[in-house]
Amino acid sequence: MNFFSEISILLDSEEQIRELELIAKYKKSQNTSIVGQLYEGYMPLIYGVCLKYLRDSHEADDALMSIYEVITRKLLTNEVQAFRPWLYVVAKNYCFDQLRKKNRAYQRKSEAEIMYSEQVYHPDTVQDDKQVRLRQCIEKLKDDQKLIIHAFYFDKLSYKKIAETHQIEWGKVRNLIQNGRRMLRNCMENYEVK
Amino acid sequence: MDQNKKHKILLQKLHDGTITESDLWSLERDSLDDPFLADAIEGYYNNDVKNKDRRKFAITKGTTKVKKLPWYRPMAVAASLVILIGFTFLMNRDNNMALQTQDVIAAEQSESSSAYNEVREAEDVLIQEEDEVIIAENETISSEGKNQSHESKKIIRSAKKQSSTQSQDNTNSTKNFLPEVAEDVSRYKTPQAKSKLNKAPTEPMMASDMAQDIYSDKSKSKNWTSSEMDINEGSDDIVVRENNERINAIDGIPLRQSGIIKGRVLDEQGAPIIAAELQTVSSDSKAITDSSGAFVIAVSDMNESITAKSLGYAPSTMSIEPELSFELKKAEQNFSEPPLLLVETMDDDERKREYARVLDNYITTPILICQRTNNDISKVRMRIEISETGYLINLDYVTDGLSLDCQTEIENLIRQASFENIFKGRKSTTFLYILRF
Repeated sequence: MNFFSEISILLDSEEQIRELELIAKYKKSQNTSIVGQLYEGYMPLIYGVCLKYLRDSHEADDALMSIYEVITRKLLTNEVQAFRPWLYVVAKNYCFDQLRKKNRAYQRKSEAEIMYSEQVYHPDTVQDDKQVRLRQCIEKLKDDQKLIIHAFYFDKLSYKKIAETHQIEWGKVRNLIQNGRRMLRNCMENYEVK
Repeated sequence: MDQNKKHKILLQKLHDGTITESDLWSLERDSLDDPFLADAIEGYYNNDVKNKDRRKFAITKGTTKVKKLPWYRPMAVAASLVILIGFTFLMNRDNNMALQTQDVIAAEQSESSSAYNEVREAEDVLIQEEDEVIIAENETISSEGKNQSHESKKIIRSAKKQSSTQSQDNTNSTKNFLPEVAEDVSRYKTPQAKSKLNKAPTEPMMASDMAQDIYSDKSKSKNWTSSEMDINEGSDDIVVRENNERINAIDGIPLRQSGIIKGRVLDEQGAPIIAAELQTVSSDSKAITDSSGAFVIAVSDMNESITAKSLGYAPSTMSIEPELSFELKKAEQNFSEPPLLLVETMDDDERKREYARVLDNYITTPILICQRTNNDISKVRMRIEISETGYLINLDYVTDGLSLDCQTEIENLIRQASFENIFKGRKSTTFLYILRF
């Protein structure tokens, strides 16, 4: 199964350990400036998430500060093993709570079946000896998937550029990439079995 | 560079609109494996950011500094207090006047108790039914005192015109407003008359109804009847309709009543069932239980029954009582999987049940982390959203207090199930699933 070289893990374990140390320090001293230090690194990320779910930049502004208050409370009581995923869950739950309070449901625009499984790989990080197989597999993809995978991984165009040139929604671009990757993985595995 | 810092800087640029094409690409590429980042990017792409001030991405210290109040603030507070007190005083004065009017009526009533007895029997039926209404009305009299005093004055005045020949004793202050009408009414039907007198303009049915009931065979007070007709001018339709309804009630047809019913839904062990659905049998009133299994449902007809149902339990139906307590028995689960094609023809409810059954079949291994970290939780309720192509889109936990690791474990399990195509070829839906461990 080792077709693809490991890509860099999103969070350095060092960074993760530093965060856990800060959390432990905060639990002891209850000094909120430590939480500020932790939170600041994630603010643009949280802001984007709130924008996605709340669909309003003013509400997202408020949510950004409210989530900070929520985590200063929750960090004292909750046992946090990894800060980043925990923060993501807290932020998402906060946004859903807000929507529920206002009796609004979150309307999904793009139905991305995003593959966040362990077998993370990207076609542009495939080892040299697998390149030939990869080409063959890419050739087997559906036309639109082939086109988009090529544009994204080899021409290094952003979603928006691709969306503009092909006149489709950017969410569709992401779906095509995700589905393409899934097909590629299956194809490469079948190759191995044969 | 540390990934987190890189993402922070790039997202700030995306927020400002100064991001370069290659930076954007690298963000997007990272987001393919990172739902957190993917969500954030989606947020920026789909929404216009109005406040582009980058300072909001910093926790500013000392924002809690207390501002000095401007000089006019205390004066404004004092002025509004004065106005408030003034208003309260005025309102109280009106209330007192209303009370005085009622006192006088009460005094008249005590004088005329013998006449009252004569008619009493004929009206027993009516009185019983109206008692409840009257109690409720009397409770509201104090709060509505102001309005009602005006209204009662209004009838009283118009009635007075009609019967001016009889007016003799009315001399001073509030007694000026007391007409013969009020006397007549109160003489024959003390408590009812009082409340009806107060209510007369808003519900003309009451007064005219009473007039017919009380005076139809006696017909001695023509004055009264004519003045009553005057009051009810313009609302004859209502009077007739309401009268018919009242007659029906007397004939023994039960009155339709509405109300709010409270209750709880429990399982066989007496533990609360969360998010159980309640529904009245004929109407479309619905409710859902909270985390303690309690519910409140509005019913339009007290002769109705309520059905409680929850996934994994056999539904139960009960007739309405003031405090309803449902006990749901576990449903027998059928583990045989129906053929796939059938699923597409199923209606939405059936499909949801089918999805839950399929998941039940799939999850056979124990949920280890959850068992270890959540000793007090034996079942987890969640809302699962499945896409058109059979993949897990979203998972919300209804059960509170799950550890993060447990949430991740369950989510991974169900995502894995969807990757193994157990929902493939079925339509998209959102369903409630209970996982027991």
